[in-house]
Amino acid sequence: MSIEVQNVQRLRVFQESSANFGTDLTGSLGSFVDVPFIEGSLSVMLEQEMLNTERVVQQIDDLPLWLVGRKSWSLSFGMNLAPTGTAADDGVAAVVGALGTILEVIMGGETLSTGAAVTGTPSTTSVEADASAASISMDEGAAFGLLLGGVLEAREAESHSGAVFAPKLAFSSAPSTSDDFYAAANYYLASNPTGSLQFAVEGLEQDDRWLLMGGQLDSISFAITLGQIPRITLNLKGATWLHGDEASSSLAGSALGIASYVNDDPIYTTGGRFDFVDVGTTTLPSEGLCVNALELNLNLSYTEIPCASGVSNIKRWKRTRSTPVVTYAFTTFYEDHGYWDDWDAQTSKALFAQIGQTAGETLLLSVPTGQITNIQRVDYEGMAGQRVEVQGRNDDDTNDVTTDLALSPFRIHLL
Amino acid sequence: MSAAPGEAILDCLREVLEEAAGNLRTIPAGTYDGELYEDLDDGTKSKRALTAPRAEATITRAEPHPSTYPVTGSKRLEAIGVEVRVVRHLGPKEMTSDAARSLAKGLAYADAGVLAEALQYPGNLTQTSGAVATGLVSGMLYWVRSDLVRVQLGGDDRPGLIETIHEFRGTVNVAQATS
Repeated sequence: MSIEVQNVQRLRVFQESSANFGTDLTGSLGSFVDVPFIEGSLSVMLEQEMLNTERVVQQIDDLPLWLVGRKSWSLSFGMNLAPTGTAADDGVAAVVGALGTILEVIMGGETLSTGAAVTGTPSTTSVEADASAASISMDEGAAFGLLLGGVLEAREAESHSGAVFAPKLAFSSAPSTSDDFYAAANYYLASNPTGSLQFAVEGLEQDDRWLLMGGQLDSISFAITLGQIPRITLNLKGATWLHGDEASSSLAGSALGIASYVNDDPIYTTGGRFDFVDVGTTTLPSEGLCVNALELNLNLSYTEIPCASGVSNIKRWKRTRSTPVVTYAFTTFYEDHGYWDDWDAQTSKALFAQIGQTAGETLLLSVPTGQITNIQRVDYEGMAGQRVEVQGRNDDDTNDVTTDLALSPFRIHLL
Repeated sequence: MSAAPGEAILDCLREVLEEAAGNLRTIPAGTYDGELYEDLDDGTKSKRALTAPRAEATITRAEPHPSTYPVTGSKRLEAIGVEVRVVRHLGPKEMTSDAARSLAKGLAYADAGVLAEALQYPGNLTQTSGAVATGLVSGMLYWVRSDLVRVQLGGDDRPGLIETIHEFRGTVNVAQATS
């Protein structure tokens, strides 16, 4: 027993399938992934319901014993919204780190594409990969990238014909044959995610170890500001928890292990470019959108499926309808009333926010179809500005109207 | 014990400042030279700056980055401050000619933009010419501000120079031992 510093902690995460919701999976502790959370940001609440039996007593100050009821937990931490650091070039599959492990469960969908090489007669709007579309997971809504002039340009697939990729926005120039066609780890909203998350929370004191099971998202927030490292803050909730020495592979009684952060390569919000274009436009604007921050809100909501035989009376978490599931806002210069016209005309707008420009160190966030809901004149760092608010909906710009990936109103791509 | 690659950062900065290193927005070789070590007297600074303006980069500050990981992790993020000092020569012409003086001061002001463009371009500071990684996140620094330290017109026994300081910030991704 010892008194230890609070901020020295370790957090590991593992995915639960619906079949093992809320069950102790520390038998696979070696497969738990270290979460590179931001020091000092971790907060855990371990709850147990207290139920008053309300049994009558005979003394004015007496109280019956209360029953200890079902458990639950909440966990919150911040982490960098970081690419993996692995460039998925020709023949290389996109990799997964802790961020991807978590995103797959809270958003519901993950597609790991594989890089290829450019072949055929490429143009800015048509690029053929030298591998089958199926083998590299070239799906509508997935993102791929090309290095053009030394800068990685990431684009979502509007459509593909065989292995010929048609980007939603044109590349700035045509690639050359044999150039690398970089792949991404793609995360998207699924309509019925069934997975959940399990966390091992470990403090420096050897007894300060906890296993949190049956977890899902409560809320998520994004901080994307020019010049800063993009960050997300996750608030999670869960069905049950154990003290570390109650786990099948005890977490307690040994020195805190060193965390190994893999496939995590933080970048600044710089390089790349933001584009805010009409849905269906492939013409690349002559310059990107100038903003100093992106206010992005993802309104995912999960509720319990109650079940007497479930863990803490929960069968698993069920995603509920919570629209608009994604909204965003940005402030930019006022140069003309074009966005105001779009507002009046209900023009469908797409946002592509590429952060970074190096293979393996690039993020692409997309809200592929949205509608402007408000614009106001504002002061933009002392210049005349306009603040634009948008709400997103299903992607209108992919030909595939059946898959969650193609329809997703919001996607995160790590290239 | 792992340490942040300070020497690699400073070597890389010197290559960008003096040897046209980088991917884009590079500084042409000869724009700046080195040999501007600390505590150099004004006379030597002014004489050396006759052939070319002189520049010297120093890491002036290091602290845990707000987004760093728990200390038991396999890496840490450090927030650093970097200062680039530039000295330009001023001679008799600048004492007597308004135009020459405007040109000299204008060039000193322009140094801010030249340095900002080169050091802020992603990837320009990723590694040295010898492929030693700097660990700088996104291979770049961010320009914070530039200040005119002094304008000293030459005169009897007084060397003429303009000195500016350019402040940058950056983040270093440092691997830590795990066993």
